[in-house]
Amino acid sequence: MAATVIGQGITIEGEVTSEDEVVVSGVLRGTLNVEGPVTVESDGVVEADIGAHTVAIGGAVTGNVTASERVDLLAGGRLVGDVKAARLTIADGASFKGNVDMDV
Amino acid sequence: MSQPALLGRGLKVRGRVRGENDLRVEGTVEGDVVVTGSLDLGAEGNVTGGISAASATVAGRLEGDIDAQGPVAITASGSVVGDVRATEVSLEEGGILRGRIDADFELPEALR
Repeated sequence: MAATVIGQGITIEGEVTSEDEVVVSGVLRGTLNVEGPVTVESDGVVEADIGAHTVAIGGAVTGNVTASERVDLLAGGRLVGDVKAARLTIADGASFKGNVDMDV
Repeated sequence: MSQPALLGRGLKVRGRVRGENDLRVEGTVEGDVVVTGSLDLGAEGNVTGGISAASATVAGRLEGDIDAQGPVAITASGSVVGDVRATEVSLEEGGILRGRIDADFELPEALR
């Protein structure tokens, strides 16, 4: 089980930092910085800039996403913001508006 | 099935946390925590701010007031610096409370 689960019905407004995995099924507004993976589940809503090792987006994210390893935009996922990562996948059925910087 | 909400160890929140469910805190929250379910502050948990919940169990450290619609339990490892408002308050041996207790209860007939 993930170290932190921002579950359904939970709303956090502010600055969130974590040394461990974070899973968002609820709502997060502010900033999110994680030394580990971040997963935004299909019912998760993030209105925040995200910095993490890896970011998997199955829900709705508004904000810039920076990952030291990879970003995966999953089917059904929705991202409005810029992505900076070494690796990026965008699944069929995902929506994305923003710029990509793959640091080449 | 949705996973229960857990703010884990290593997590730090500076801001507000609201919820319509139960919440367990094992990390650090600097700000108010308002949940409609029960709040479980684990032994490693640390909250600086007010807590409002249906009920609360404090095994970690809280600097702030608790406003509960139901019971509040402070366990042996728990520490509360602030006022506690609840229907019932229990404080286990070893637990620390510095503040006021405001519990509405009916006095037994003999003590009225």
